[in-house]
Amino acid sequence: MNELLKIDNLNISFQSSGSDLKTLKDFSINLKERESLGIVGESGSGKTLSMLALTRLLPKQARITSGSIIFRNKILNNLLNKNFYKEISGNKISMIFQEPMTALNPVHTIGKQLLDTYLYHNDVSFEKGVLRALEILDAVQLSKNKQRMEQYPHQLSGGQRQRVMIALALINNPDLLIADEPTTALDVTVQKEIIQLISKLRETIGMALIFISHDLGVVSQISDNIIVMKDGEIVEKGSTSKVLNKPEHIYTQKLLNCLHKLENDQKKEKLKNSPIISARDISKVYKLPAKIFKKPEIIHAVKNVSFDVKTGETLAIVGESGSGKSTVAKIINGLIVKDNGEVKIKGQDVEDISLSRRAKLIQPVFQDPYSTLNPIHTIGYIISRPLVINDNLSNHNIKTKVIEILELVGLSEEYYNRFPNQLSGGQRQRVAIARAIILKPQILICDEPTSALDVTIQSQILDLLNDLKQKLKITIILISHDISVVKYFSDRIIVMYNGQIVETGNSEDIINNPKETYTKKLMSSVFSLKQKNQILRDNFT
Amino acid sequence: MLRFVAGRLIVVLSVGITLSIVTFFLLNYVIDPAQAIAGEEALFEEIEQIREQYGFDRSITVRYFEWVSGIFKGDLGVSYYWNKPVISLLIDRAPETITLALMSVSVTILIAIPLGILAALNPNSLIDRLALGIAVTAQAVPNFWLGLIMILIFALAIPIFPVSGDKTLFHFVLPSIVLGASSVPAVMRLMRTGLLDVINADFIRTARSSGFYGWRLIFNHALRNALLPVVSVLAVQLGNKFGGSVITESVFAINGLGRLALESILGADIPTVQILVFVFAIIFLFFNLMADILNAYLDPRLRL
Amino acid sequence: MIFKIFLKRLFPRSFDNDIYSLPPKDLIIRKSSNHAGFKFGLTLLLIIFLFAIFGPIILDVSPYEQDLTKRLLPPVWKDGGSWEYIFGTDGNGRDYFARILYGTRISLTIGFGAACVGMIIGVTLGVCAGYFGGWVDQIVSYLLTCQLALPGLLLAMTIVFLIGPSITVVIFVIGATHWAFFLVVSRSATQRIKNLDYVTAANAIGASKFQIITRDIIPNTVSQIIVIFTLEVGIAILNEASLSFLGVGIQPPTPSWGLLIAEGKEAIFFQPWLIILPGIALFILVVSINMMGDGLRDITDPNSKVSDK
Repeated sequence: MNELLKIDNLNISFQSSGSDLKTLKDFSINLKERESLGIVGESGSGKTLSMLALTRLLPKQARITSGSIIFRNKILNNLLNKNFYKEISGNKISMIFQEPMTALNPVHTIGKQLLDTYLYHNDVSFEKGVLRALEILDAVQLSKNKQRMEQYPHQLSGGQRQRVMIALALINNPDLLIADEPTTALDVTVQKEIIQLISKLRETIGMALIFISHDLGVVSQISDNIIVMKDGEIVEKGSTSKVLNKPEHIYTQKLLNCLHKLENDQKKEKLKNSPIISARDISKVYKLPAKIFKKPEIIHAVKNVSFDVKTGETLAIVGESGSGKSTVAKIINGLIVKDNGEVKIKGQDVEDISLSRRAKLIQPVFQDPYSTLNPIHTIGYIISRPLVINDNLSNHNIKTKVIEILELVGLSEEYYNRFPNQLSGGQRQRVAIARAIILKPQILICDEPTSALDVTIQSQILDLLNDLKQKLKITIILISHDISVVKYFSDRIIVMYNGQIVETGNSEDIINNPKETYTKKLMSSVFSLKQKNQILRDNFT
Repeated sequence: MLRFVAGRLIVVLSVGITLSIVTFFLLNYVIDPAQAIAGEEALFEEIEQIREQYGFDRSITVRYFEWVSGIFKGDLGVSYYWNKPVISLLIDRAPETITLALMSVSVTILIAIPLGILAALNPNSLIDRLALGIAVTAQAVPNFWLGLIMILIFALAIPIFPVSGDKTLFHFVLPSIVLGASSVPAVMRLMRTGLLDVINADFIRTARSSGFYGWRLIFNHALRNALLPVVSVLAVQLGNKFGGSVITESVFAINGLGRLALESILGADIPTVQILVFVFAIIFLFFNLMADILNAYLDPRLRL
Repeated sequence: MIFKIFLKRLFPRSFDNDIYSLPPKDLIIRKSSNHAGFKFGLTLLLIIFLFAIFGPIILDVSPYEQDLTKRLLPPVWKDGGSWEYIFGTDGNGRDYFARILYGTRISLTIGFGAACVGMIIGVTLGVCAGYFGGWVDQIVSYLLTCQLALPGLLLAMTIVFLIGPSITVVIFVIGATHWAFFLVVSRSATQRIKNLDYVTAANAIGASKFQIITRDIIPNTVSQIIVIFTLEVGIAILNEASLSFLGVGIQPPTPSWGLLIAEGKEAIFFQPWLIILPGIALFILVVSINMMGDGLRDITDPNSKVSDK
């Protein structure tokens, strides 16, 4: 096959504080026609930057210092902006982005945005443009395409918007589509549909694809070849099967280990303990404030949810965003007042327990490592605060205890006087865990504790939680949308959808033999490496 | 739409009622109106006589309801100072102030919007710094002083515009520049940051990745988004100009509502002052309502 | 409401969805030492402060002493001026330099005083409205609409004139009509902060509402409040000058700059320096405060990039 794109020794640096910071080092790739290439890396690895250089969307501070980009035997570096935008961008090379919610202009209709792009690059009549727009909306499987043309982006769901984005990128039949984390912001069940759609359209249009993601599982589904990046450099390059099965670089191996570890089942003991928490028929309704021209909306966040948590077990509540799982967690913790039902912790209604006793019984750990710590307080203050409020201890004792806990979560004494913004995401999450366990609570509610972290950090935090669970004999309620994390960690699973419990059962049963349709859909949308390996192996034999 | 407007009208009405109570009590209870009319050195008997003559000896609630029912009948009271019905004073003086308000908002638009756009398109350039300089200066110059300096310059050095009075539209040029200049910094900054925000927005990245660039990108894809808040703030500014006319009108000797207000205050003319405070408040609320409707009309996200 | 959209654009940081707080101390210091406008404004303001405090003591001049034989003397750079009266004398033969110097004290006192009054009212209402929400929020929003709708200058004029003008009255009247910015900014900051995980965590470890408000919420709004504060100081100074200029603020013989301009107005074509000089003094003071405020806004904004030079 002919060569489509060749990038040679591309270097990009950021200008800051007078010195140049090299953020992309000697980036080289070759892409054939119709080939599909996956680029994997953690945040800050330079994976997006390389492609922004190709589409001339680099941020202003970034500068290409050396290297050449050759597209269809044409050197793109030297092309005038005017010619580049008119001939290449949006015409031969298109790009779709992560955030479907903000990537479309909110004040123009879908139709206008599609037509603008088509008529700009093609000298055809308005009527022909409309036909083409309808055709491409049909191709991205967006139903009722005539109505869609008249709609504004805010009237569509996230998945629908991403389909419109894809339509916008493909309306001029490009030779190359660059997809930058196109599914990361979407729900898992929608993710799979979008990936399948991109895959299918690649076949029909016959274009090449560069797929950027932090998720090796997702990338392996769609790519012929994979590039692994770390700190601005390519560390591994090869066919998908080779990268997955015989990784050469230590970083790739680590990445794969983290994923495999999550996929391997742990041996779990069956517990027959008494329930520590019992929730009966809990409901919560949110009223969205009335906006101009809109009636106040009522959302049933949680509807008649009942379940028990046994002492010492790890219970996972699984569901997509908006399923009400976080609300359930906060209700159990007594942090949100429920509308109906009752929650009993050790036989006592959670709303009747005194603040201090509740604090010593049950503690939360949250998702976002950046908002979980108050930025104006020191780490020492943050961790000691529960003790200061609830226990009457001398300053010296408090400090000793805080340092003990710091060491328990894998941080050292030197962090005591630091501020949160001097810590990395993983370290902040450790501090948040330290704060939660310093009162020795019996229950820990972890609300997506790892989903904002990079893969390698994720597995460290999960290990820490596992370790603490053994050492401190804590009951853990884990809220997650990530099936692999849940599988790795939990004894029992509750599946939630639209504020209700869909299915409950032991982990293995739910994961291997889901009964309800929704659970099946959820489980099948997990991109596991095994499946891909299976497919590849099938192809070889 | 109707529901929204009706809801807003109720708010406007209730705020109007609250304000009428507040101003009435401030001007009739906190301050002794009889004393205010009689002056500082008046004898006790004189004050008592005035009190009876104007009916200030009756209870304040009775007088309040009298006042309000008068407003509904179109009787805004009689000015002590001018010895005229307040309504005829308002009708006499309103055209000058309306002219001044409209012209000064035009001045703001003509200066602030182009400057804001240019500054946003060339951040940290010479024009951006110039725009920032103009904003900082205009924000720090006291309005009345700017007026006096204008008079000084245009009376002595370049006598092209008249510096005092309100006979022709030419008389309004200098006052409008002075009054308009006070809104330039806010509107200019709003335009600049708004456009900068839009330029950095994801959907502009989408448009760029679709091949749009240069002026076409700005005009077709960015400007409308950035103008949305500016348009509605301009509507609010128009409402503000009425209250802001006090200083400009007295500096340039324009016989408008603002000057009327100042003269009434200095003359302790409580009936006129309380109507003017109320009228300015209603004008402000009206333009705010207009701005809200306009904003919702222009922004599809706020439409149903 | 439109007012909020307006503020949102002028103070984007108070409303954005990123987690905000003061950037680390060393970064703040580095940013402020690199911000030319901020340094300029701060230096100028410090000089003005020193002048206002020590000037009258060191220079030993009186703003009230009249000498009718020396009326309307021109300043030193004009024909007939002398070093004895650098800025000349006014219509009553008083030293104009001394009057402007004393005027600095009046402006600074009223500017900072009124901004403090406004801040106390606005932040208290804003934090309560943001934290408690519900009917508290509705009442506060209603109060806000009332405050915005009232023609502030006109009302202030009326009240000051009728109650009887004094510095204290002017401070409270200006403060009481200028708390909207404080309210809107602290309210929306509180609304955002109270939903952040660290506040929920504080709740979970048993902290009381009072503790959460004083330890977690207010400290995180400080940087935004300071920016509004500097802005309001400038506005209050200009407001006082306007009131005094119209004759309904500080009364003679107290040397307020607005009053000096009003007194000089009669002789505008003959002794123009009588209005130009106090006007320039006002301008310099307000510019220095505004430049410092703009600088603070950039410095405390984690997204802003202050270029190194």
